[in-house]
Amino acid sequence: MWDLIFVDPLTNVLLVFYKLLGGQTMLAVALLTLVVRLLLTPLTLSQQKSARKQQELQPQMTQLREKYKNDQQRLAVEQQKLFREAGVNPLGGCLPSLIQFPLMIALYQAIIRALAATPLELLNLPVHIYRWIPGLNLSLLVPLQSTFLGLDLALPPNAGTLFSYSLPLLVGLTTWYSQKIMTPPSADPQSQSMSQTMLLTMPLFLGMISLQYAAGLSIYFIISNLVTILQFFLFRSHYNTAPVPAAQPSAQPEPVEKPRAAEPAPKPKPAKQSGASEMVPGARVARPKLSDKR
Amino acid sequence: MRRWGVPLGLLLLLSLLLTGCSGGVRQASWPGLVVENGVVYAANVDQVIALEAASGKLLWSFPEKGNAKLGFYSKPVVAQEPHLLLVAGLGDRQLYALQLSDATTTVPGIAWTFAGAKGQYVGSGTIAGELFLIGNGDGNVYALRLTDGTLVWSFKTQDRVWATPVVVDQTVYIASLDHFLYAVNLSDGTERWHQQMNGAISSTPVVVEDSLWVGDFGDTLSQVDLQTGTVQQTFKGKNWFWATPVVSGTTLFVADVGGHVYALDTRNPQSTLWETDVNDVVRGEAVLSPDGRLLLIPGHEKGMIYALDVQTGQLRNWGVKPTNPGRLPGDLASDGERLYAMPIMIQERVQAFDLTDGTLLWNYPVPEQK
Repeated sequence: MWDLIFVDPLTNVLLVFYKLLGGQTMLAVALLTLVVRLLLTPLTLSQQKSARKQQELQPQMTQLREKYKNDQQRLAVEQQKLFREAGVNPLGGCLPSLIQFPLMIALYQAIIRALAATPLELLNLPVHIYRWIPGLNLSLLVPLQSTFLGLDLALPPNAGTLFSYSLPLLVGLTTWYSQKIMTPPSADPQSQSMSQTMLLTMPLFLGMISLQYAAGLSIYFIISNLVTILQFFLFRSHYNTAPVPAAQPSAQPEPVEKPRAAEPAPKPKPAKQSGASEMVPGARVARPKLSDKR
Repeated sequence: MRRWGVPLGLLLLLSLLLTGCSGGVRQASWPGLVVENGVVYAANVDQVIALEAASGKLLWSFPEKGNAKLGFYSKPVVAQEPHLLLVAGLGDRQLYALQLSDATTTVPGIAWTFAGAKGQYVGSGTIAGELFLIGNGDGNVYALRLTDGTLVWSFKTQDRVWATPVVVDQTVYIASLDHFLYAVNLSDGTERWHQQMNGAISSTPVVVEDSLWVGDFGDTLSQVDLQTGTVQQTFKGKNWFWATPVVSGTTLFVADVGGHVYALDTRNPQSTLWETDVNDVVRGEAVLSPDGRLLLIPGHEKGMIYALDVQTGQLRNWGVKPTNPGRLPGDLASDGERLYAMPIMIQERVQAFDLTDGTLLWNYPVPEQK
């Protein structure tokens, strides 16, 4: 089912692009990556908008964390209220990613399948090629002419073409940079620590994958990262010309209600149990980058 | 530790997705074997092994300690004079000539090696007089002197050569993934003619009388004149032709990768004698039973061996359906008594069956009892 819905259509579109572009695998992979990323642009923009809004709420969030550091339940309620009043969906950043993720995996699988670097991979290809397109026998295109500037895109980087090792390096660099600009600054030390870890591990991981798989996959990673970077800057320049609305008064947190006399005051929790409670008020509030540029 | 937990978990999930959740060793191709004088020589990925054909007992392995980086897949070739076993590594891109001795349990030494190819070895080689010919992933066919491995000539095609070169008289026929069939002189490797086919060619051609039959990825089986390269007749199948056809008299049996098996009269290939769908992917070469009544076909996806009646194409009962058959992308081989297969993705690497009824005779290695 996965193949039928996701991988097969992408594989066949890649083959069609290959035919239209005169048998240039490199260009076909680049074009397919570009088209898929452009199709996903509304989701990417929605994700970036959501991230931006959340950044703008960081000062209020910090205040809330400080005020309700001893009442996690109340903190959650107030945070939800803040999000609701500011018109922010807290899942707005994750949902587009969740939708994009399978498509990007399918794109990756389609490229690997069409490049068919090994005999077994090539044997797996014919059952996935559409044979019903009139006047277009995609089987005749196989195997794809995968050489580009002396580099065989169907093979992993190897000593035969030393500059092929530059591809995993480029994958690592573009992944690092796209992640760096896309990761919103967080006031939460735990999230910040996780972001830092991901910022280092993902480029390394994708660089390692690129070392082991067909070089065509590196092209996909690089193009994909470049599109992310481009989209980010286009989005930022667009929003820099349109001023960010000031935080509405209604979005401000309500003053902390004093506990009623009948209710026991909540016991202060040990600092280790809560990341937020470790914070010095105002000391680690990261200023949103987008707002800084205004 | 907690700090690293989430990112590492995500990376693990991502790596599983990216590798297709396959696990285990990533198999690149299919291993092949040859049977000679009661010994099975099998390319067993990390080493080449020699087994007693009657019992499956291991005689020797080369190298003694397996090395998966060597990647022995290409079907070994036995040369009689000098007595060599020629094996090629897909992984290390080297060709090894192993010195066979009469003492079958002695691990053979290396007579010579050839490291001049830049691509992977997938297909098998062939012996023509004093030469050993083999195609490579770098697009070349190399002709090496059997005695010392000296390169005599090489012939360049525009894509990978996975098919075994075929020699008739003093001409070598080379099928390439570049869609062309080439005829070159055996003595010096100069080209005599080339002919464009309908698609890429990975199937080893077969010779019937004065013509060559070759299948391609354009779903076409073509009859090509040996002397001129002219395409005389064609047969259109329903999918890629990758398996080498099997010939019996003037009847040609061929399967496409879609699992359609055709019996053709070579004098009039347009009309099929029969056609059967085994509902499996077929890549490996089939084998005829000694009495010529059954055509045994390896099914890749289901790991089954299908026995078809050569007269009617109907499926016959043959062997027992194994519970975990693995996959069978490679060629079947026979010594007239037994049928040999090399499944992949299971523990058993070599299997021998009784040719007449399909009884499993032995497995190598013997599977562990649960």
